[in-house]
Amino acid sequence: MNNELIGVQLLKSFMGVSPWMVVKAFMIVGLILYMVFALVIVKQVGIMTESVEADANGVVKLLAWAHLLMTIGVIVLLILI
Amino acid sequence: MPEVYKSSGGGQPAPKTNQVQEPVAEQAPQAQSAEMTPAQEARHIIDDVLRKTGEHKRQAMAGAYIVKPEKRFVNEQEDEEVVLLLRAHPITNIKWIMTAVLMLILPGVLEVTGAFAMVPGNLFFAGKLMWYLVTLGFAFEKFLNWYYSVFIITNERMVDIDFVNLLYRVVSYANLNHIEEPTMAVGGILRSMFRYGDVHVSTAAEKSTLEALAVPYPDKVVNIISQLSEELEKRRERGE
Repeated sequence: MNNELIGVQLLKSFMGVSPWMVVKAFMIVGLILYMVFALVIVKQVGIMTESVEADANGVVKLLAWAHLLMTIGVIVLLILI
Repeated sequence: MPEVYKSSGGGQPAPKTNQVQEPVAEQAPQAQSAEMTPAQEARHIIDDVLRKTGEHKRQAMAGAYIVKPEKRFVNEQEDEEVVLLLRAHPITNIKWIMTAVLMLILPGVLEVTGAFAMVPGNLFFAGKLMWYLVTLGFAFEKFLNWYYSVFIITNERMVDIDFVNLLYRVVSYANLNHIEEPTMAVGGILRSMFRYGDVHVSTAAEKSTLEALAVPYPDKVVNIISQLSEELEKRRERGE
């Protein structure tokens, strides 16, 4: 009985939520997971540049950090809009 | 030079001693090599081998074929010098480059067709940014795997550094005096046209083969490996 009431209440509360809000929430979750990938890239670039000395090492490190920062930027933007 | 490129074991410069070399008639042909330091001797051998194979210090195929790159790599020994640094031929990247270009133009195409007409503008904008970010991540990861998966030939050994994916790295070493005859394989229109192919070097160890896949000028690579191996063999016979 109690469970049914909670279910109905939840349903009612979700009824007022725009479907675009749900899409937005999924996008934020997706981007947070993507941020983990961006962090792995930063870490991996460190290992790669240690393995071989190359001309592009500096640019590659910069790109990896820029990619991570851009990911964080898009998450913030998505939360704000 | 960054510390990380220095070998932890071996490779220490020989301590200076005050030994006096007695002039011996039989040692006359080796007098030049006896006077040279190991690094100088290595350079001398490399120059000799490159001259024999018709090569010189150069960089070709967008950095996929570099002769005498003067770059260091992980666990390199002090008296070791890189002769060749190889990557897969740049043409092998065409597949992911095309995919990335398609990914880049896809949002524009969908916008023109009106497929996302009912999506709120700000959400569509954020979605587009997210898509471009994923495209950048995809292209960057592919580039990293290509750029840092290298096959290095030094005057002492061969080093194969493979990044299978972002979390998996394989580094294989083989001494040049422990290798069997290297082989090459070139087949197909694209490979013949752009002059790239696979180089396989089997070592004396069981089931151990080093592979340089889709590298430019495989014939020259095999030639250089053979010549260097031969030089090492000669040195060993001379007891150097």
